[in-house]
Amino acid sequence: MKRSVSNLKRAILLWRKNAKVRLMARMAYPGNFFILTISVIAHMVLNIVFMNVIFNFVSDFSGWTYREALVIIAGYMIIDGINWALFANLTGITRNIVNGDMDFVLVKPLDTQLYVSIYRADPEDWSRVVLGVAVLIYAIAGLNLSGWALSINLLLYSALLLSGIVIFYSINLIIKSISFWTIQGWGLQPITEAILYGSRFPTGIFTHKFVRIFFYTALPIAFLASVPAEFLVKLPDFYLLGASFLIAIVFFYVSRKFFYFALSHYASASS
Amino acid sequence: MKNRVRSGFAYRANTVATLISESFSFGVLFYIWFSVYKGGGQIGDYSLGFMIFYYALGKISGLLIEFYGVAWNLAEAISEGEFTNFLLKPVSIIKQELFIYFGNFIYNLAVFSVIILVMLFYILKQFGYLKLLAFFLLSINAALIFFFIFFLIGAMAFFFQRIQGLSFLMSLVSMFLAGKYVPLDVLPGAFYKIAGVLPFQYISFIPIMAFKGSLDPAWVLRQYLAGLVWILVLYVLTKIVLAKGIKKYEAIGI
Repeated sequence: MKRSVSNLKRAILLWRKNAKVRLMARMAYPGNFFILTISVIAHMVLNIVFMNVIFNFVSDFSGWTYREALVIIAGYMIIDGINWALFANLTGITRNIVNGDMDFVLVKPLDTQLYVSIYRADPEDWSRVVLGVAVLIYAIAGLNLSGWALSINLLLYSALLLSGIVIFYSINLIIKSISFWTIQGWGLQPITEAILYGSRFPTGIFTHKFVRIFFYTALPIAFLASVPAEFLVKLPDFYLLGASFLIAIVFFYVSRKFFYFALSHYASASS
Repeated sequence: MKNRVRSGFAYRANTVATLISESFSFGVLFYIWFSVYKGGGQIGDYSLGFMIFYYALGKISGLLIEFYGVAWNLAEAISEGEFTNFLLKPVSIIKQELFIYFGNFIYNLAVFSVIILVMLFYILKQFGYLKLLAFFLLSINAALIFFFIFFLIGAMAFFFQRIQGLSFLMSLVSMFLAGKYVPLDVLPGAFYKIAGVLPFQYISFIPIMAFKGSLDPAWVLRQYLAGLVWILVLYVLTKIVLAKGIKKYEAIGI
């Protein structure tokens, strides 16, 4: 236990140093950093525009009102933001393999999975989180929620969103680990983006039973933003709460095992 | 061009990954619109069938002509100092990049040939060859407009050194104003008006509109000529930017 706490402290310290270096690198070209931040915000705003277009023509989207659907979008933005701002979408794996730097990573006195996860942090992506929180506040303001009900729902929402972050991180890790075989793994990036993209909408849109089961189990994107939003604005099935945490634990365990399995196939050569 | 095709085949896993991600996002789009229409909604004058066709064709033509590497390759060459190699060759930089772009087109045409053939078969059956011809004609403009826009963005590296931000922003703007998110005519009036005076609509929206309603040869001709004018404007702009950029270029790399 003591060792785990010490490792965690070391990881946080390392992440802070990496984040500082990354911020300095970004600030070396302030114009580029400014435009990147604007781009990230524009990317998020386009999600809202897309939802607006849908609600221009319908008042109910698979059982969700506009404000309720915005809660899902907000969850997606927060997960996306955390994923980039803390882990740079795990590009550390692909980058180190392509550059042949994984050897140096392996000799570092830190858990390899942890190191490649916190290898890079993109400071401009905090704007996704900030915008996500702003959208969440706006969405909640238009819902009939207040007092204790709101506090409890927000607590559940936050816990489930955290679970969603772990689930997405795990899915991302499994996909990015494929780079150990494909070497030039930049093509894997759009897959994780597409998966997260799919989580921006109510799971109810997947009308076919098989597809819905698939998105609750094998590729549990339902638990990323949709289920947390259900706990905030609707009265969901409470078994989903346990299911979300269970899936997060299982996926984290499996992704870690898969990462080390993939790592054992690392050929130790630059491409 | 040949090198680009070879490089594509060397890293074919990336192509498989592209196919998976594009199919996945198309699947999600299918369910979104299916859900909207099933709930009694109607988006503009689009039927559910045409809406699905709109996105499917947009994705396929996107796979063929939207090669964002145009901007990245040029910007990297400029910022790393490798642009000098381009200058020493007896072929213009625009031609060299254009051939790399067509190499990418041919590679994607080859690897996605089955999907493309299925789509062609569907189009011929549903819309007839005249509309397909109009689509091809407008798509040639689409490819050139896309190429010159992203070449220009890459060339901005002469002046700004790092262009990741600009490139990302422009790819978003281009996707949105090309009608990749939603058809432009269902956007709120202001967005539609802005899109109407910019060249991005010719990348995806205009070519696909050749299939909407009955074929109007005058409309096709008008759009084709307007696209040509944009190509000319972008080409002249590219020449000016290149001339100014090369004067500023120091070939030291950064």
